[in-house]
Amino acid sequence: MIKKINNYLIVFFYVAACHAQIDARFVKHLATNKLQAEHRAYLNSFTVPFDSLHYYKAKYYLQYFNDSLLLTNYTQSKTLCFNDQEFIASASKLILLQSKPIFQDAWFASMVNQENTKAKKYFEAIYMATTEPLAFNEKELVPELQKPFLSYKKVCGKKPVLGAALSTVVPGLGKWYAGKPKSALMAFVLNGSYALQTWESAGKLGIRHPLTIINASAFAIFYLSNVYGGYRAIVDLRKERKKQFIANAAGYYN
Amino acid sequence: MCQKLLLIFFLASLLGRGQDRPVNDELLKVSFEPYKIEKTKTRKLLRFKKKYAAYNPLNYAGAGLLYLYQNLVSEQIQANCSYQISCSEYTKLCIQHHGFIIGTLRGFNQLSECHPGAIYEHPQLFINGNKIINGLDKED
Repeated sequence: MIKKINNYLIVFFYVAACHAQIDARFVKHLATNKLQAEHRAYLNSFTVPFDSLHYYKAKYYLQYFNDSLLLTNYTQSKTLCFNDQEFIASASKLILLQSKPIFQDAWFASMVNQENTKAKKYFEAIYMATTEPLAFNEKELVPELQKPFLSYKKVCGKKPVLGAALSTVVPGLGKWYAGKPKSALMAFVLNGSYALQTWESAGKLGIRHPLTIINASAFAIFYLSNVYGGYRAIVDLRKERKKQFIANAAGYYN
Repeated sequence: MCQKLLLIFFLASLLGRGQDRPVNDELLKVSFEPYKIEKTKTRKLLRFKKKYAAYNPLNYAGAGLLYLYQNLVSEQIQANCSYQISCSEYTKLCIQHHGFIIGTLRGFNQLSECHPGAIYEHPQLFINGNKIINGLDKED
């Protein structure tokens, strides 16, 4: 009797293996050898959608990063995807680094009802730290990440409009306020020298002289760009330090 | 018993074939597809993001001056920029992307920040060798 059952079981598994929907080993081979065209063609050859197909498609769109298609396939095979913690960690890392805020919001909103795993907890904390840095307590992070987070938090407390206003009053002061003292000094010297040159040529040659007009134009362009630069310095530094913090956080998780 | 098992396996393998999918043919087709050389598009002086920007003569004047600078002046003075995309190239890109006024302001702003000390004012992620990584994708 037991022998019969065993035989039936062997036959059952054999048939089940023959009917397997996706050849996982083949997909792994395509992914490791980066055969993108073949990988895509193989996944697209399945016309009837099923759970594991969406999971493999999500992995494909993670490897050849496409955030919207990754999210679409992830939502259709959430449980399968969530069991793969490596997938969750790498997807969170890439979405935080490369995607627009709308995709980041959708990605982390989709993880709310899932169970608390190490990757989920870690990347949710990073997401919270990047979206609301002023309200986030740095002590929730590991000590290695506190320094880059604090430098990001510091620049988030600064106002770009105030930077522009300060640069209007004294050239370079906005950049000093942003935290770029060397560039501030450079802007001050550059604007000061152009202003002095214009002043001198206006005094000696007159306002209508072509040299005065050239000097005044150069001064005007550098002065206006310095005002704009006071604004951009803060906006750019925010983005740069945010990316640096996320890169550090992703590196630390690995 | 053995014969019975063999018969069962034979029948099972017939069942196991499942639907005939032309996967292999497709994969072979993709793998051995002849390499296609894409036709290069005719190069324009500037490629604008907004359509109406193509009718602004100031954009062409600005880009033309920068072209002259890059090909005549820059080579003579052996300019070495602190940024990965040089200040003149960056200004041209900004004029394409943001229009004449904002593009010029951004370009001149980078020019005023182009000094050897600027490398210490950017996070490590944005430093490649001794150049600062810049570009429009970083900003937008």
